[in-house]
Amino acid sequence: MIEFFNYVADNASLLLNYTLQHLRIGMLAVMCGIVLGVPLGLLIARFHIIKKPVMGVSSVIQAIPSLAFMGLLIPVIGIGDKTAIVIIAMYALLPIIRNTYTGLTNIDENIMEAARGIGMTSRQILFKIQLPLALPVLMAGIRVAAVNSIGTATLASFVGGGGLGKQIYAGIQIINVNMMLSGAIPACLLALLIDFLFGLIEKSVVPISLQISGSAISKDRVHRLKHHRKRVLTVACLAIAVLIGSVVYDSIEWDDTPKITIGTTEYIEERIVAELYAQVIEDRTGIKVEQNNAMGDGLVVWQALQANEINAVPAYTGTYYATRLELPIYPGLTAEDTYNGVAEGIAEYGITAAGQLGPNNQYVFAVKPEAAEKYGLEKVSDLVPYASNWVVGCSQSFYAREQDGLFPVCEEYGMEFKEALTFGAAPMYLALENDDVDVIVTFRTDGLLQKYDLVLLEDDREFFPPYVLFFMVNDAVLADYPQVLDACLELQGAVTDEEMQDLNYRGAQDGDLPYDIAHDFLVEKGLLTE
Amino acid sequence: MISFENVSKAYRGQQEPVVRDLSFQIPQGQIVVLIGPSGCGKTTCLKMINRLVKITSGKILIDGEDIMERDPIQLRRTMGYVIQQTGIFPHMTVRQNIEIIPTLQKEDKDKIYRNTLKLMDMVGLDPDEYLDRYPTQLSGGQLQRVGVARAFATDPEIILMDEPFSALDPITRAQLQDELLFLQSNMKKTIVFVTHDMDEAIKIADRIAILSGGELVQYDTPEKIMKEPANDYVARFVGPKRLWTKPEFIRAEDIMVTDPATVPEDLPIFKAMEIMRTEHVDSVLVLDTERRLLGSVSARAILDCADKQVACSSIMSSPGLTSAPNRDLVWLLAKFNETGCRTMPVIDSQGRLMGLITTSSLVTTMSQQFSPESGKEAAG
Repeated sequence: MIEFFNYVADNASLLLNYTLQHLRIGMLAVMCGIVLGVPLGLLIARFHIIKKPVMGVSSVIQAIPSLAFMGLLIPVIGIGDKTAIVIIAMYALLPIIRNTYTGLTNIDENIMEAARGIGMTSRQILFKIQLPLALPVLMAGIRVAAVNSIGTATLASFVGGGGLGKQIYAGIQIINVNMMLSGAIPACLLALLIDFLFGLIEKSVVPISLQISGSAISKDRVHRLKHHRKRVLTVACLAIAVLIGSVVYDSIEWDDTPKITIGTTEYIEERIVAELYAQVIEDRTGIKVEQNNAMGDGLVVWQALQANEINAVPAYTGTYYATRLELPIYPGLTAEDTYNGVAEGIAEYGITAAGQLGPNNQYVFAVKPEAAEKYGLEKVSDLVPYASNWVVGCSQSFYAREQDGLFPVCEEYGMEFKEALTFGAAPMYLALENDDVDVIVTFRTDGLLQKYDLVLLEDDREFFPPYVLFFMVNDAVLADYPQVLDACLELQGAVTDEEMQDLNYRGAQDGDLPYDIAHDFLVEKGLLTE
Repeated sequence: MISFENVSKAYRGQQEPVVRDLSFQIPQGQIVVLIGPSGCGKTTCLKMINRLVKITSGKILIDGEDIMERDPIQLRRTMGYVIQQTGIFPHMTVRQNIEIIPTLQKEDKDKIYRNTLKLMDMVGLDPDEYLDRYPTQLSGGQLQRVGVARAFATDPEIILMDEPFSALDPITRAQLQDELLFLQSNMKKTIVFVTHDMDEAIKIADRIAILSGGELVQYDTPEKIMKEPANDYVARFVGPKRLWTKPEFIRAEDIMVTDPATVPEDLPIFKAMEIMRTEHVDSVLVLDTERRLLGSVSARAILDCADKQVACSSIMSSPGLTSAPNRDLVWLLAKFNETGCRTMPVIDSQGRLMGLITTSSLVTTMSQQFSPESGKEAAG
């Protein structure tokens, strides 16, 4: 408990920053939802014929899994907060449209008829009668949408956006409870706060005569309520102004010093490697290097790199060779051949391969030492007799890989597991620890291997291609700053497998920041002076 | 004047038209009540006047101008429209409700306010007390007064009222009806009023239009409709006892004996004796050759006269109190009571005899009101 508070105190400014980002993403999404949803609600209340299609589409959107939605939208609008906002706004649409419609159509028919009968135009009826009477219901919908949006804003980190999701997923990656909680608790409190604040707005926009029962209305009370409403609305307007202001502020490029952005997923190893390259590039070229290391998965990173939304990426040769470029793998594929194949392949996409860092972070089967001893496991082939009774754990992407994934490797070795469970990186180790799975497929340099002291099984058939860490830069950046490539090449072969595992262990076990880990290493190696 | 010319209304998807081939006129400055059972098309008729309901065929003219030629919004602003009290906008104060159309028309604020005070006064609501109240703070009757005030806010020539009082309790309803009549006596608007309540119709209407199945069954004054229902449907709708609730609609000509015993002025009195004997009466009326009433001769007067050859005119007494044919029952009863007379001749404006009211004909009339089967005859 005390540890947690210490953690929060130490990282207060980061957490505050994440919280504000989180709030901004959620609120901008709600605003977009309102801007789109309210007019749609008005439209379907007027033209009943389009009600079914509009409600149908917004219901379908609601039903699309958010991860799938991101996959669909990233190629279209790229990465970052804006994508997150669009996706979250889509989810906010349904309650807003539905409540707008319900609010407008549930008005007593006599009132509507009286309004028409005394000669109000349909626009006057809308603004003077329908909207004021529909506001309570409409606002209730917006309130639901706002709370949902704050909840789903944690997803922003999957598409390279900011917010508390970053903290939560970073915590999950290295199984750091304090990190997870320091993201989750503020997210929770934020949702409660938003619910409360929107509740205040909702209450204050209810027509006064419907807020209090007739007998309790006094001139004084009406006056107070009006005053209260004015105050709430002023604050709400200010908040909206601040939000819009922040968007405008963001869209302005404040300083024109050259800078490049390195993108990675949450995976701790990639983040440390990105820091290694970032610090060397900054030191050698004076170009400012920013990082975006909270993207949902490698494919997102690859798409963002092609779009030059991020300019440089650390990656693994085998992954690009077999999965992104779909080149054929074969037993005995060398590291050099893999790198050359990748370099050639990505050149067609306008990306330059900027040298290999050294560590080969190959996929590897790992078991607990007790199991290795009991069953005499040393090689992958030794698994074959037991596989049909065992459960294997691996990452989602390994499960899905067509050439170098779970199914191809099982086929190569002629085995079939009883069941395969997929995990995010770290929880897999917990599952093995708890005997929920019997064997896992992980990465050779993963810091958690050291933490859990697992036994690695030799790939005796040389099935897996090499997965050497390498660096890629978008050609557009190199055209402007050719010196970046030279800086990158200085790190060629600079790290060994063991060193990488040590660095990862620092990140995973000790919770050290990637920046510090990379800096210490570079200084130690003489690549950077204090 | 509002004229319906062959107006029909059929809703899509319904075979039977709601209103069929309706033609009638609503005269300037009168209250015309549209009445009939639910589904008879009365409300549809009303809403066609302000174009809330689209006319399928035919025309409605206001002062000769086809309403379809006019902008519906402008058209509606020249007509007041009152519906049940739920038509008051719940989120606006009384003042905002009354002022909504003038405000939308951007009229001068002071002028609007002065007019509102006048309207509040007119419908009997104290402005100081009620102007800033919300509808939830008002009773049903007060709400309906606000509705009426709102209808008058644009000073329209025509007021359309769609069952405005039907949700009110009977006492409040009667009060508002009285106030409407009082208002109308000053304002002389053309009011079209829909109701399903015959008592209400009779009380307030100058003319009643009875609708059934979308057709106009009878369109006449309340009195005529009660006395001369066009058919059984109207008679049943009006109800047999209805007339008795309005004794002022029972006229002398309705209850008089139309063939009283009469004699020419030059008839010898012994012959008059004979007539009295055969007619079983104790007096006869004396008429001149133009059937003008000159006087009456009683059996006692003939007996007292020695010379039975003299003409009736020489011994007749004056006719006494007479009645015009349109004197109502209330007046007749009062006069009979006052003078203690037993008969009263009914004469027209030229003094010609039309009939005779006797105490027994009064008793008959009154007794018939209490036996439903014969009520219709009494009304007729």
